[in-house]
Amino acid sequence: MELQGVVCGYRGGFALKEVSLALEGGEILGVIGPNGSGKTTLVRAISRILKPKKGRIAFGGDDIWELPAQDFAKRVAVVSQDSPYVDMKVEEYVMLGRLPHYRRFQLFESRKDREKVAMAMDLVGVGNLRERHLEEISGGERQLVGIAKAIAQEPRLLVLDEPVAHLDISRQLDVLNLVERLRGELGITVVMVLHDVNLAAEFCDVVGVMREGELLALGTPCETITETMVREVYGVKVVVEKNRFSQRPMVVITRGGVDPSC
Amino acid sequence: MKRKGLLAFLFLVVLLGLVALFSLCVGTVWISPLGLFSLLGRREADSTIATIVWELRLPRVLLGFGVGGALSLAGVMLQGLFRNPLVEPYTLGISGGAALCVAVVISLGLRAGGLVTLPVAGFCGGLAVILLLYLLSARRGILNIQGLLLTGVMLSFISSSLIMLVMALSRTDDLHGILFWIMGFLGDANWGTALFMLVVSLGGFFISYPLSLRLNALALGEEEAAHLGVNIEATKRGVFLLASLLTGLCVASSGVIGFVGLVVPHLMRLLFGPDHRFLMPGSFLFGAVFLVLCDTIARTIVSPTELPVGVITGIVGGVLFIHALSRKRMGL
Repeated sequence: MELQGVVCGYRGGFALKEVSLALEGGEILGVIGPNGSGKTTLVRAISRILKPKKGRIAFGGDDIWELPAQDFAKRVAVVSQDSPYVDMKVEEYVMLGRLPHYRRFQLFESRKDREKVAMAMDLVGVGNLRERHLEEISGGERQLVGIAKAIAQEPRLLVLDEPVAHLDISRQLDVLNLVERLRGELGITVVMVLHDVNLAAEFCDVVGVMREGELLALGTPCETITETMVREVYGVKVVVEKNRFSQRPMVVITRGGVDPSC
Repeated sequence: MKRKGLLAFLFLVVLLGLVALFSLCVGTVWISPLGLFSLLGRREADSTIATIVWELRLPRVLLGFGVGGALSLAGVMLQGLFRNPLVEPYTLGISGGAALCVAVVISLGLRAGGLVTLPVAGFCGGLAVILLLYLLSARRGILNIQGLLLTGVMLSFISSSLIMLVMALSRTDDLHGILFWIMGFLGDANWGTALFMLVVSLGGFFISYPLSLRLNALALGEEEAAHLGVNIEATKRGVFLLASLLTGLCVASSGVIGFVGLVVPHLMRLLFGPDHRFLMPGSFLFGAVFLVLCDTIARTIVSPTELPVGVITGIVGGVLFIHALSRKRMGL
């Protein structure tokens, strides 16, 4: 995935300003930044929802806006911030992930589709929820089911928009460990928007820091997550230490840490 | 689900056959099923019974089949498109436009032009609203769904007010004609209209059925469906135009028959669930059953006088729906 000088906006204002980045296959990119910094706009641009006013987004060398919608969906799967509350069984929902692979007039799933869905659900660990309705399962389970649907798409790039928002610490780890495992087992590239800087430091290979629509920094967690960056971007004073287990940066907050100079 | 769905379809097909047979038998004159079979293939048979069956009841049953199926199909597609269970084929004001044109034609005394005058006027009115809706709601080829719904509701209100104005200025003789047309009536059925509507509704079904899977994806929201490779704008345009044309043709052929396009999809949702691959054929078949049955009641309940079929669809449909809903709530 490569972005070259991408500019996106809503009604005259710019939400992304000249964003450029290149992502290697199999990498996990975490996008962090304060509210309104353009993280979700970046996800919408990458996932072919919002057309750039300027610049180019390419996947595997092809401009994503020149690819047919179905071909794009075979390469890129997106898990949205809020999984939908629809009257549908979990298995039926995950089966929709096979839609990009359906032939022209195919309306019902083939045996291969059923196998792929069963595999995706088992891989994510939601096979036991098959017959349950989406409305009956918890927020964490719904997030995992959303990932299972994305895996059923057999994508090369998985885009996750705040996958751990509203989840408790145990479910957050479930989801992020799963993402790491999927990258390992399937070799897919992952782009995920995260609010928690520590989770981004811990689970991402590359971290992109956004502020006011600009990609302020892009690099390894050690390069990007620094006390200076947090003060500049979030306007708070923090201490950044090294996690003694993973040797990755770890943000320690203190009471009243708002920086008056920011 | 597939096996359960197939069994349910088989049941609906048998039910449709039985209701059609019942409708051919009952009326001011009772005709036994055996009597009906003896008339098979003898359309030219020189008897009153043959005339009743071939010229009056059979075209009416076929028209009921076509209109009931098409209205229910339009209803289920529009509810899927708008993700709103209260939407029905008439919500967008297409029926209002058709009814307004017909009311004007009747009150100006222009229906002497022949049997096709009112259907043609109705269709032109419906088509004008469809075009107006599209022009007002589409920007650079993107159809704004919420805008479409709100514009449709407003156009519906405007047409209703204009119809009332036309009715207030009409002569008493014309009022009855306008009122019957507005409440829906299958009594003017002839072979031409019946076969036309049959072809339209079956054609509409076969053209729209491939959209069923995309409607399932749309249930997740437009962006989610786009993530699954669904061409959202093409789907929205296709569903809107197909459902609107079907509605326009139904209204043109038999007036504004209310409730079918609202209640039938809901009843079928209780049977098949939200999957449009089952919901669309189920609604089509049960819509046909429902309208043929309601029309039979409308023409026999106070025989020899006939009631507008819209009165019966409203009462029967409403009661059936409340009953089914309360059973579902109680987990029965």
